[in-house]
Amino acid sequence: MITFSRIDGTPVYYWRSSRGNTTLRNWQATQSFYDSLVLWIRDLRSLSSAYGSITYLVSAGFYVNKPGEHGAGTAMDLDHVRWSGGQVSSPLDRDHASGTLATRRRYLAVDAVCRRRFRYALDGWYNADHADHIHSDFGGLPVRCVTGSESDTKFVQALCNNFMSSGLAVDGDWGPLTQSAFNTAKSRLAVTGDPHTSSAAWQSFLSAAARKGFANQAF
Amino acid sequence: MLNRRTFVLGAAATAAITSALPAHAAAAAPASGDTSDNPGSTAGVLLAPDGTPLLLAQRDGQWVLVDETGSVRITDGLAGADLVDVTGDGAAFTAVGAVSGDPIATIWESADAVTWREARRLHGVRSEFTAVGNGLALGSVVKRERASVVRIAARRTASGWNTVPVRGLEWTDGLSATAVATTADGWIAAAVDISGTVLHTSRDGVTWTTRPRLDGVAVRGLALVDGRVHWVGNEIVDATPLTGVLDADRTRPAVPQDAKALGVAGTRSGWFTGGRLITVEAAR
Repeated sequence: MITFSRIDGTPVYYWRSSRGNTTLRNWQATQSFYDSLVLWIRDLRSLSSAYGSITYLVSAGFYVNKPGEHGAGTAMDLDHVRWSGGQVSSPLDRDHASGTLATRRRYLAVDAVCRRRFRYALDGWYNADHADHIHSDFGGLPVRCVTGSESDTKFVQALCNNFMSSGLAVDGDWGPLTQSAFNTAKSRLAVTGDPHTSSAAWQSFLSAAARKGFANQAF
Repeated sequence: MLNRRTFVLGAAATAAITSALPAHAAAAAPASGDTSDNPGSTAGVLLAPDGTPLLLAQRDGQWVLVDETGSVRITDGLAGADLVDVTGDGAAFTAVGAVSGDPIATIWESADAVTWREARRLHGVRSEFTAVGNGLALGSVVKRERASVVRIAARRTASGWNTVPVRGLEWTDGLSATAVATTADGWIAAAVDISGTVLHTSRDGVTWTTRPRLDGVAVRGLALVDGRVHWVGNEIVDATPLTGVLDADRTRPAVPQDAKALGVAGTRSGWFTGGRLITVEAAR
């Protein structure tokens, strides 16, 4: 286990007990998980570069003494991202359910970037316990789009609804309507390969979707 | 006592374990205090038949018992087990978790903490037990991503372990139990959410009543000591070690800052630090 206050130089704050608090905290995680967080934030910086640099992150926890990936030091609960251009994405404020399309698209963009590095990303559509943060962990790697995964399916359904007005039920069941919408999304994002079997194809899909999300552009 | 299954985890053994770990990417890491120990590979602390506190932990794919001197003893009967919690009073021992792979909640029992047998497995559902104490095991049915869907429980009776209904915990179905212990008139159970610990008490192990929560701390052990319920855990942020008494103040125990709470065995709390077990009086 290692202790860190910043991820690749970007401070990580804690707001659950005091919103807006900018005290640096001593987070803990395994070295390998921290290494993945570095790759993750570099993806995030690159894909959201139009917003400027990332000023800070807010988390609800990394290592937490409880069963599962948190207890192993291989999980992150993401509450908030703030860019130097003034933009924010705030899972803490349930941005996935915002009445503003651009806010939901930005949330999905951040969600997509998490999924580039973490197979299990649990978001506001997944269940009520994740309505106010995005959980990412080391389970189930390598990354790919699994049609039997409720997390992946709900993400794809929400993505298609918010970027293509697909009108899908976000129910976690990968049926023919979801498959059709996913095929359309793949085509419009010019993704080649099979995201269900290829990590590279899935990461390409996620990068393309994230770019659209940060730009608030339909596809 | 040392025998052919017992050895002391010295520098050479530690080096061997460390060298077996996969190399990590050399990404920029402003880290401090890096060690190869991981509390995620521990099930908890128990009292051996002779009263010695022991850590049940996984080393090189085997579940072993480790005492405070670093002496290690390999167990039998736990191959393929993904253990989460353990309890024992010196005469009977229970470990809970799941069978590895697609998880199936399972309970193991032992008379000496060394040789274990499977006592109950919940077939047909993806599930895991995450806490056990005094004849009550708590767990969850889980999704593919291991998120809890609904709480489950099993009681130890003369006929063995039997599942029992759970009432009053529905609002915490998304959480996993982290500790359970007896009180003067039943059980108390803990589960950790995004910002702290929720507590429930029950007279029969079936119907549960909510108690005031413990914000900011992840409780990992509960025990009735001298008529009062003591808890051990770590802060959600910073993971600072903490202990306390229910409905009273919380305090910093005399353990290193990086110590992770393992639970309570007898009157002593167990902590994992630097890859080793240390214990202190739980009432302090």
